[in-house]
Amino acid sequence: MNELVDLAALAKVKGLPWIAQKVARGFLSGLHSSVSRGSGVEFSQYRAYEPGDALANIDWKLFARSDRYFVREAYQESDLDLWMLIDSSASMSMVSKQNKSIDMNGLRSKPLSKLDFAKVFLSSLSCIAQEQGDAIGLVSLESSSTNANDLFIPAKKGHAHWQNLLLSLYNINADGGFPNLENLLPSFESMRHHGVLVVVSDFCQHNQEIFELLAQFNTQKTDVICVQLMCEDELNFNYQGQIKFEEPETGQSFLLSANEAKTGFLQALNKHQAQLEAHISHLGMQHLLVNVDLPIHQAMHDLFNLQTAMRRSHQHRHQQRSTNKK
Amino acid sequence: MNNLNDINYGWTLLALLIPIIIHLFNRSSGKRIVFSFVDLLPAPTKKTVFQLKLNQYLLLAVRLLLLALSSILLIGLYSNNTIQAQSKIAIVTDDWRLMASDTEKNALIQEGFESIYSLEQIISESFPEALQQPEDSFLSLSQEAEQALNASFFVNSVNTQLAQAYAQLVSHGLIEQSDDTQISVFATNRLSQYDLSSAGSFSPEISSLAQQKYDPQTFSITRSELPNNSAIFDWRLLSLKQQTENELPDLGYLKVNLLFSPDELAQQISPYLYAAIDAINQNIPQVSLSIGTNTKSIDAINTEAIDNDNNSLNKRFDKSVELLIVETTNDSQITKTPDGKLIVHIEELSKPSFPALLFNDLFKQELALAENQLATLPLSKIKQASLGAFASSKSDVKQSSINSKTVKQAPIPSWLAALLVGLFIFERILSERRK
Repeated sequence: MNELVDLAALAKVKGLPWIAQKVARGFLSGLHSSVSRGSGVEFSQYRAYEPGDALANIDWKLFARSDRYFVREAYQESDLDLWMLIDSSASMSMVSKQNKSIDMNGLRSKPLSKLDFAKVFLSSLSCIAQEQGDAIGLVSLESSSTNANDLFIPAKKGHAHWQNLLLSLYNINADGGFPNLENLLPSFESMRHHGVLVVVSDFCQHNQEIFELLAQFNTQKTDVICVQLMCEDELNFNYQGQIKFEEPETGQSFLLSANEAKTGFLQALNKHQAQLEAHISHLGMQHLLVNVDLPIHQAMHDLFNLQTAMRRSHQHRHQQRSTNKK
Repeated sequence: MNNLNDINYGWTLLALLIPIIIHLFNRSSGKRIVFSFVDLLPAPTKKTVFQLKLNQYLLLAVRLLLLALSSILLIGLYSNNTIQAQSKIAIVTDDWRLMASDTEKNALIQEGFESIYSLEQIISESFPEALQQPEDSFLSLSQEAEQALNASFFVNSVNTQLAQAYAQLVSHGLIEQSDDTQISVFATNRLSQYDLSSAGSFSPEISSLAQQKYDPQTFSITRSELPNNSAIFDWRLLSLKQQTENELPDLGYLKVNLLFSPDELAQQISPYLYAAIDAINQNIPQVSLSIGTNTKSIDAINTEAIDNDNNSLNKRFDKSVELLIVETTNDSQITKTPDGKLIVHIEELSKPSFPALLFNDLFKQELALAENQLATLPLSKIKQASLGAFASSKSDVKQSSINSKTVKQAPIPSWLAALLVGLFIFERILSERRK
């Protein structure tokens, strides 16, 4: 199970704080900032007193100097729920032939499938979140298990919970197709809608099932990050000669000349990606394309950079709104 | 086609089954890849499937052809090592016993008589009643009987030599022991001196041979007719396969002139030479042999230095002659004039091994030689060692050095080799495209 935590990748991203974009209720217990103003550690801004503001928030020293009433605002640390949604359908079992073993301090030498990459990625991410004191939950999207409890691990804090979560993550196998949404809806209702939801999947869908799943989440209060995992072979179609392509979920297979099919596939893939990104953007979610044949720390860097960019964009919009009110 | 080649072709057929069986039972055509986005792949058309199957069958056909051609090539090489049963083996033999002088011959006959007389003495002492009639005595020989006795020596001698030569061929693996091999015997001896028509105790083929004198005859010799004491004898023989037009050596048309002094010895051996010449002319149409006895010309070649100016030579001989074989007192050697005329100097054209030497010098034909200690001995001693009870020849014949080579294999046809290489490259390209 220790193999799931990519120590090398963690070493490269350890200094980066896992920062949420939305308001998190509850008391400060981590390093996450929120946009709610009030008493806190880090000063944010002064604004004019408005009827209804708490008197305790008035900066009396400033009043003494200016003879005017101002309310002092500061960043308030809040807890965060990190929900990890992992797609464990059969399509995630694909291994790229270009995939080279990822050096994980000599712990792993075999090529990684998309599911294996997802496990390591989420494990590393959960390690950071756990050290920050965040609650971590896991939902596995697989149709092979009929027990709803196997699919859903509620968000909790603590090292022991994190260890149990890693164990569950380790035991996930790529099998079957996409699960029935009706089995998952009760679990989604119990999720606190204040947190970050990381959906790790290849987004290979047959009947828009993944879009239906994403539509269940309220992006107004939950950061949803769609991490799409793809292999180098899928991105560039580096196949040659006569190949029998087999779909792992349906078992459908085609015998094709790879050289002749390359152009058509790449065109269809570009179209598919454009539609996916447009839909995700329309839902107010973030999309991150990850090549599983690249090192994991690069994927985590990309994720943190994405979060940072979106946070700055969100702060900028909030400041503009505040300015407009004045 | 002999039995051994039939077996070879049988194995070839089995080898061809291998790629067919693999093709029939290979269910997984093409490499299998688990691929998530199969929905995005273009649907295979009928044309694509047809092309893929065509490629598979083409690859199978190329591999079968490659195997078949390789097998044919190997079998061709193997069968070149053996003389086909249909081919004729020409043995140019010199019956040394008949080439011996009359003195020697008489001595041999006398020895025979003495042996028979001794035997008769023993029989008369032990079984007096067995020799009661005059005609029972072996010593009462009529002229005809004497001729028959001489002929029997000849027959026995030839048969023995043939048997030993046959054994030599078998020991070298040049012919199959179980086959009846047609052997053409060019007996380069003075058959004309013997009238064998009246001799009834030997094979009619021999008498026919004698009647036709210099004409080579073909007769069958089966294994059952071989005497029991067909010991291995290092008899240097030349195997001359009857070749088809396509297999003729690239000699062009070679005109050969034999020159020797018409001395008494030459007159004695002239039938011998004529027989050899006839044998060559009849079996190798590219060669034209003629004999010349101009003493002055012979001396001129032997004494004059061969320099860049060969007008002296051309004045004496036909310009079209390309090869001169000259009897010389020097050691046997081959020289070449600046314009490419070959001059073969042979000491004593009357050597019994002359025909073999002639073939060797002319065509560099392969000679079958056994790795035998006797090979280094003078020919006379070889005959003494192998012929057993027969008296050795008193002629001191020295053998010339002949390169010992095994039977040369026919060269691989260049077109076949090129075709094989091309097929192999094509098969590799098809296989790579299929991966």
